[in-house]
Amino acid sequence: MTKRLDMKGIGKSFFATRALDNVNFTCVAGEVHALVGLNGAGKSTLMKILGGVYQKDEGVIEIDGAKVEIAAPSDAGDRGIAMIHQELSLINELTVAGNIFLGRELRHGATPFVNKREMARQVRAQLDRFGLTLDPNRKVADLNSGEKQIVEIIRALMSDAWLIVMDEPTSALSEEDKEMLFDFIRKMKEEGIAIIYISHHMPEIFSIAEQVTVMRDGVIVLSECTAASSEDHVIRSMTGAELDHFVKPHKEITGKTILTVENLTHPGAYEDISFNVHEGEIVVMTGLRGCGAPELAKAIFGLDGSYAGKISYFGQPLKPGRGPAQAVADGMGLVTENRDKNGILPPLSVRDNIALPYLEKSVKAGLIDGRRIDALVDKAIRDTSTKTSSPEQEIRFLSGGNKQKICFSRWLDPDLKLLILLEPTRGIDVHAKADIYRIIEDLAGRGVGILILSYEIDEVIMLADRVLTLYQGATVSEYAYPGFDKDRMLADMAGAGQGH
Amino acid sequence: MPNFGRLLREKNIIFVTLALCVLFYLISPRFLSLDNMSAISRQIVPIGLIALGQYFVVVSGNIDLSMGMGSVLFAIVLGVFFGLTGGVALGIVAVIVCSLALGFFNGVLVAKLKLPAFIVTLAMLFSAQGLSGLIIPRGQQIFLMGDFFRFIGAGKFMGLYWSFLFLVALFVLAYVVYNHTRWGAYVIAIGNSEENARLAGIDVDRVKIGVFMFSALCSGLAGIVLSSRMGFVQPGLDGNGLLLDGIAAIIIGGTLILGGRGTIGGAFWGLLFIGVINNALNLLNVEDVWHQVFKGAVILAALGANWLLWQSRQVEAH
Repeated sequence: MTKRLDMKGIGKSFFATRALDNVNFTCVAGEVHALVGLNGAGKSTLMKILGGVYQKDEGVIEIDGAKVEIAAPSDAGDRGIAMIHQELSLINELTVAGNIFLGRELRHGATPFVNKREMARQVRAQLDRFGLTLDPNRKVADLNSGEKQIVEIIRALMSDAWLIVMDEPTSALSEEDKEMLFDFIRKMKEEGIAIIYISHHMPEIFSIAEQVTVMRDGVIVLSECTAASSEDHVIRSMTGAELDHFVKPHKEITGKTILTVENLTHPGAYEDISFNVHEGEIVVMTGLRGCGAPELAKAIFGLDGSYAGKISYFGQPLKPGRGPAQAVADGMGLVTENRDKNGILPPLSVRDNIALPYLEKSVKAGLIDGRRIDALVDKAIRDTSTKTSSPEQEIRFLSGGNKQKICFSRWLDPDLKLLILLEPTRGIDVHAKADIYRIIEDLAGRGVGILILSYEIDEVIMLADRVLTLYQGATVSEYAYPGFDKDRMLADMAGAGQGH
Repeated sequence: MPNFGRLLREKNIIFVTLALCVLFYLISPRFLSLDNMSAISRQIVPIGLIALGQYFVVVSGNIDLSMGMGSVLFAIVLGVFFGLTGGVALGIVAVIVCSLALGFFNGVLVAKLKLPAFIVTLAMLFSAQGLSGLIIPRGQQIFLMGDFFRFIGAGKFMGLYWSFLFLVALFVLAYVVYNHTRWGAYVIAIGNSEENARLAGIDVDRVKIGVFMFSALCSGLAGIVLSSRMGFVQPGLDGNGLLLDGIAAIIIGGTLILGGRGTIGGAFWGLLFIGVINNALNLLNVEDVWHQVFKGAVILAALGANWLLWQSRQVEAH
């Protein structure tokens, strides 16, 4: 088989940070090349350079032996490189064929009328070629995620793509759809299409990929045939040989049980999950995206009532789906994973954002007690070390880390008993992270029970008193401090040893 | 066997309209008389033109609030040219040129300067209203007389008003454009996701400007029809009432106010629905104030039901 893509000595820096250093990466026609690495290892930077989103600082990209420059996403498309993103770029209200031909519709001769029959025929021919059954005249809105992904890939193939980059393609798929996608990938290989497959799922990688490359801290640390590699070997390369020796102060968990979750099941999201959270304890759930933890957290907070099993709070069973207002009244708090969408109110000031949950309790004779609110706001800004020019500053101008601190400050209420945090440090810088960790430790020190979902293994180990690893909605194992084994946790998260 | 529940859900506006017709017939048999049907067909033409232009704007994810007062302004442009020259052709050309220019202006502000359509067209609404009063002072009017206006206002072909036939033809044309040309697909695509449409290589700005030019042209035509029927033009015409009837028609016809979804057939039924209500309330001598209240209640019921059905479908889809 022939080498078609050759990226040589690629380097990229963002200000002082070296994101990629001397990276070599190749793709061969008819093969799947898996690309793995922890968050921040440089995978997406490399793919963005290939896709024309970022420009490389050093190195050469060759396609079929000829040097090319990819200056914009459209250049990548023109050269036959297609990126299939997790957030698909389809138009829901158009048909499958309408989407595939969007922007380059076929017409009846020179008339302005679109030739829907011919477009459908060509799409059907492509689908047949890959053994797929899908009606080209169905609206995309009516398709499931697997089918949508197929439409996106077919669209790429019909614009003469020979290299398809898939980013975590199975994260939103059912078992059945995964099989369909894998069959499709195998057929594409037979047709000589090259595929870059970004994933953390070891069983998938070893069943579909010929080559696996591991990145860590911006460099390639392993690149070999899957036939000659092993799940263990790949996982060890991801984490690095030297283990972090972070010593967390030992803490006796002696408090009462706050939360008890027993055999909680929601088909398709999580299955048979059981655990406890005690006063002052930090329990961290971890896994890959799609492991079911966010859904679980939402069930506990009363946002979703369609589960089997039992959730008890201070020994009392909770009514399923009782709603967030009741949860807050019971002393629970939630910081969501998407602060811009579900956390802050962007046009309002820092002050108004912090004050929101305190308004109820700060009313005197029907009017809001402004002075009391000011005092609360000042205290909250101080306690969380939020950096803002003034409390009147509009929150949308703050950095991600400072917005996140304000989301936290809502829950510094002395009545708080259980705080649920979804990806508490997602997309925020190192300094803000340290502040957030401090706030979490302070709350735990005050006796608040804390349940965290984090996808970052180092953060998990740093914060947790207890860790639950999840894979596809099921608990793999539970680790208690200090018996954390990073390699084993990563293997759990990646589904290693579970077969496919 | 057809799935009746589904039919009722997707075509509910047809059933509601027919049910209202039966109800009005029971109250006053004159409602279903040939004369009255014919009157409805003529009354809905200006609303229908507004609805048609607005339809493409709304599906593209925008709104054009200037259509109603625009119609009044364009009617006055027609009147002024007619009054000055006594010729019709020049007046019609002037209306077409002015409306396309106004639509182009709206479209450029929305597409190129990225201003919200609501703001741009609201400003245009007030400007059009002001200009109308500037050209013809309040209380004055210009009479429109001659064969052309009689033809547009009251001409019939085999018992049907020419203006109604003209409207139906435009709806058919719009159906073909919406469902069978690239432009129609691009309007839907932009209404669903401007970003994704751009990524697919569509010239989003051009499509948006085109949408606003079309809506302004439709309001120009509505101005011509409206003034022809009345036989005079004056700045005090209720342009905003016309605009709101047009918007109500397409929303009742199942067009998603957020953009990206709708059918031309649905919009036509929504138009009939509005026409039936307007006519029946007049016919039944409902006092003017109560007329509006009743209309509001019926629209709320119809729209509320549509919205709930849409949401239930969203839930099913997950």
